[in-house]
Amino acid sequence: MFAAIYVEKEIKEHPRTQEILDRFSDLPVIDCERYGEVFNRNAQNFRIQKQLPSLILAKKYGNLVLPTPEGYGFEGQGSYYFSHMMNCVYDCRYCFLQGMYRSANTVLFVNYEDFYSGLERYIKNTNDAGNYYSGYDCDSLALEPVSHFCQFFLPLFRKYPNAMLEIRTKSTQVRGLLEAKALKNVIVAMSFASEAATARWEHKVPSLKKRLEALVKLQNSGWPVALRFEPIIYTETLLEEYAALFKLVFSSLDTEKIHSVSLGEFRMPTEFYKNISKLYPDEALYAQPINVQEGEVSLKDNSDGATIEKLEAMLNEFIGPTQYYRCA
Amino acid sequence: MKKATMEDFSSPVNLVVAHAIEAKPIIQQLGLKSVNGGAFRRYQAQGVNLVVSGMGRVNAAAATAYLSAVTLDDSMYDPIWINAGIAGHKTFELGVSVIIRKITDPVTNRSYYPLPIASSLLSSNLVTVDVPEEEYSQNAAFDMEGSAFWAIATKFSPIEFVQLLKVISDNPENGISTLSKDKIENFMDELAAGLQLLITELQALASQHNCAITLPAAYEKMLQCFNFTVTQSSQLRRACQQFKAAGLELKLEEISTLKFHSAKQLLAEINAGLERFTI
Repeated sequence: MFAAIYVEKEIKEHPRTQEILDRFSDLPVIDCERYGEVFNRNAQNFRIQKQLPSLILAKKYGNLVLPTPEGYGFEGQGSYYFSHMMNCVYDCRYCFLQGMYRSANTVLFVNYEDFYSGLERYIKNTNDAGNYYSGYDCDSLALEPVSHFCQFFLPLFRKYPNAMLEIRTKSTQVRGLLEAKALKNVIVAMSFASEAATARWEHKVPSLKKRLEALVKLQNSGWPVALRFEPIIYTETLLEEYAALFKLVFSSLDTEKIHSVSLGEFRMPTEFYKNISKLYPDEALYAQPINVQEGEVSLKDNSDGATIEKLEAMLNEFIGPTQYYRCA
Repeated sequence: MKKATMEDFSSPVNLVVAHAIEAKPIIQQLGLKSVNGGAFRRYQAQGVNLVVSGMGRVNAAAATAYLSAVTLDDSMYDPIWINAGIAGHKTFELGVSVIIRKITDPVTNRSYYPLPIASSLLSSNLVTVDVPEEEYSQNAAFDMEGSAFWAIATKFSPIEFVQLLKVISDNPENGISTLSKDKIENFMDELAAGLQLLITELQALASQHNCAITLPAAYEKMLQCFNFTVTQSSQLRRACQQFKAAGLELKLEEISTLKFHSAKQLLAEINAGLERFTI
């Protein structure tokens, strides 16, 4: 999984660091002063590095909880995100992280206690409520056996039942959740793309079938689950592919109990798109005609929005309107 | 047409070695031939260049830049860079080859981190010093060129293509004063075997990268047709990559045989071809 582990000297003796080093005792351990020396340096090539990624254990300073970008997640009470990790062990060709970070290494911030205090402060300032998102800069569960993220953060949301946590993931590492008592305010949001899109662009990601099985187990154990159908990438056979996907997913889950379902088109900041196009000049996805508007790139939709509307109509056959939102 | 193999996408290999005695076993094992003239002694064979830098950081930096300059036009791909040579170590035994995971320069107080490439070789930190280290003050390897080599080589290639391979020549039990010409040659003989393995591993990484960035043949053909501005030539380059990515190389080849009045008209035709592409 990793070629080496970099460890910031400051957290070398942290119990969470020691536990992780014990787990990967056969890997080279390299000391560093600050994770940026390895993660943010110039002249790195994300694509080459992705073949030999390392894990960086670090301490996060500064703003640990941040307001979400406009249009992200649910409307209403304050929305915030936090990232105990940066980067993802999966290798999805459409992912904006490839264009956002210079390095393909995964950073894990081990000072969970500081994230906990930061989150609690925001929750208290939002009348013991608010929406909190984990998985914006990483996949929250993909490293669960190493990070024990759920074990640490669930008690906070047990304490504040009006604060909502969304765990965005493509991982099947749900044992930690299944072993805990289900919480109504912690939603596991699983991302899905059609089977063809999964095979083509989602490398190293658990199969669609396995992800669905994990979600069914969570739902059966009382956890609220959500579905994120994104990014929608226009292909000639898109509608047929998503019809099959929706049929499979909604026939496996109790649709009435699904917390929410969203659709989102492929889009990312222009700068990230440019970076990724340079990294993957041989990727057909980045040869597609694009629109550039207000600093964001999206794929040209030859149907003038009719395709998304058709997808929404297809979803309406399975879920109620209050369960659905379209990502802005 | 002959189908391309991964070997066709190999990167050149540039080796920087401090002393002629250190270089000798590598020159012999890789069958390198001397190249006449120039500021530094240089050796070459198919796809491999070696420069003898002389001792110390300034020499290493200068020789690395020199080698880059004189080999710049030899390949369209970024070179692999390896600094190979002897080093002292506090705890490692003599003759052990080590791949470097971290380079520290005590003068600038900066550290650098080569890609931790999978290797059967032992790994070590490296401290680059200005005078021979006789105290072995840290549990690390000590040399006099590594940090300067890294700082310059990473200006010419992605950092993932730059590595340092050292063989332990002295330690607290066998100090620098015990070194002889014969011992150095023997140590470097050991290192040369590990060097071949390292080159193979790096070429595997580089070939995949180079294959992905290779432009279709039609690009060069079209570039010869007109005087493209810098912007236009970059647009042409990107469009050719997109045709290749879209599996439309034949269509691009077809366009390259058509007659156009200007670079602008050619680009318009190419872009129109891409506008119609859907996955």
